[in-house]
Amino acid sequence: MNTKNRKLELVFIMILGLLVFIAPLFYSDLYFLSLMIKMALACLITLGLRLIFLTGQLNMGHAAFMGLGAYVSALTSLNLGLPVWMAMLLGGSVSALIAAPIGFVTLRIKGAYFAIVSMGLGEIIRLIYTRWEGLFGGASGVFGIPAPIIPISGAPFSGKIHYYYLIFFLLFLVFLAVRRIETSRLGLLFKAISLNDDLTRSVGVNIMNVKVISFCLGSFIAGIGGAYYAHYLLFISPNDFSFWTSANYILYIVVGGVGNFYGALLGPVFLIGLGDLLISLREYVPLVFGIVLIAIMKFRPGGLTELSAQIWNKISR
Amino acid sequence: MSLLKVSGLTKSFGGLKAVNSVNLQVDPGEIVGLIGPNGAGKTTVLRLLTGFFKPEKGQILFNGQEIAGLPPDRAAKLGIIRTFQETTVYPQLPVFLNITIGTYLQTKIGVIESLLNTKNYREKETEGNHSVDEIIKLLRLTGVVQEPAMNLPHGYQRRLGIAIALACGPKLLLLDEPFSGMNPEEVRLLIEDLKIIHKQGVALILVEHQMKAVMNLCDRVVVLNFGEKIAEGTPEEVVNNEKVVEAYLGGMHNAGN
Repeated sequence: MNTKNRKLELVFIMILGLLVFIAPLFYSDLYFLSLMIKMALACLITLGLRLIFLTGQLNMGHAAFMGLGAYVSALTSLNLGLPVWMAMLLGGSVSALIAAPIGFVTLRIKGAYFAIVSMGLGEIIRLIYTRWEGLFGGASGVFGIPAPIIPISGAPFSGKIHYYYLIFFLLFLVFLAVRRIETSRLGLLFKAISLNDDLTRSVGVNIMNVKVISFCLGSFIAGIGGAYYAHYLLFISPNDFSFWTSANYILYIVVGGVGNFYGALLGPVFLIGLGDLLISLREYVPLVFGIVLIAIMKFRPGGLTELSAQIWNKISR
Repeated sequence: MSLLKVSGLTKSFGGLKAVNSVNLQVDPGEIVGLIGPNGAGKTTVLRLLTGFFKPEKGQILFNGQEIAGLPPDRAAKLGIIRTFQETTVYPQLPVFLNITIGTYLQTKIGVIESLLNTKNYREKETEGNHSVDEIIKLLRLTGVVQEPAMNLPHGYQRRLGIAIALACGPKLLLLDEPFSGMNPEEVRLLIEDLKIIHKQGVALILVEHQMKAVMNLCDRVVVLNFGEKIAEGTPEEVVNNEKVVEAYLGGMHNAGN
């Protein structure tokens, strides 16, 4: 990327950040805030999925790792009295730690095969939450999860506005980290593996290690997102982390566009926004999503980022 | 001491002995040709040497160290690097990044420093970029640095494949039919390039059908047929060897009788 584009991007990020920061000052409608929170959380978790996808592995069990973060954070803060912030960090870390051995076994397979295995794996993890009632509370889930504490005043989070700023702060950190990884040599290795793994092995890269690193980083982000989810809703159940949740993240990333980093932000914002506009359609909303997905795959396989780049080129010419 | 010493190398696929107790030796700075009819086991030997296959039997000593059965990345770390028979580059990435991936072993950049963009990371990155620049100059890719590899003509893509391998800093470079699909002009240019690489102190094993290149470049030629070594010697000796002629032309003498 040349320096002019980089400056343009920086200005764009700053304006966007400023808008997000001041929006609640002018428009603090609770519905609006929860919609924004939903979008930001989806963006955060989709960025984690993108990191894994960069090595060419489509993880169809991403929500299970979100669930790991959610359960670990909820249970350690509720039962062991761990401070919520520490519990959230622990949630993300446990998710990454469990991803490592799973990754070492499953990331040996590629393409559709990995997708199927990861889907099965996600369901197995979900079934563990459901069946292990003593620890995870079974199908009825975990409730009474403590809210985070505001660091200076020591009071617990009380309004949507607190959660709003927290999720955008987390999203900002994850955004910077993922963007950094993508533009660094590490991200280049991820792409190299997805483009040609044999060639990448031949230049001396231990591709299993690199794949596991990407899987752990992506799962860490999912775990943090899940932990936020638990302390935001204060109630979690196994069905929150089923295959259908994972399918949503895949939908986001594909519709947003896998070729570009911003696809992982554009996808969730567009689809959640669309779902909100069409809320009167109720159970037919997924049908619309399906049509959008098919249309994107057929006409713009590069997703919304490709589409918006083309529109931008037409305007600026 | 020889750079590479292979003895009794054997690999079979089911009942077929693809490589049958082959001995091979490469001295530092030598160019060794590996020729033979299709299916003779040349590429299998190359894959065995670079860890893409595990040998059944036999010893592979590289700089005195046993490397038989090591995975490709470990073999590459020791300085034994291969190129591929089919054109193998990263099609969507620009030439510069293609070669940058090849510098992985030289720069050894870690995860944490990548993430934190430390001073150490940036120094290594600059250092890596320098060696990429050098290789670009060496292999005459200057005009196409920012071009995605898939847009390049065939000859350029093959040269890029060699550039990626060269960026690893090999001691021994194994080239799998680098001349395939090239026109005479491209062949001539690549011969010059390989001579330049050789002058940098890199030993080469050249798996090739293009006899002009083999005659021109190789110090020594090893001939395989049905997985076995049938001849070895200077290029002139080998082309006049009766067994070799028979292997290629399928027993002309018998046909004549």
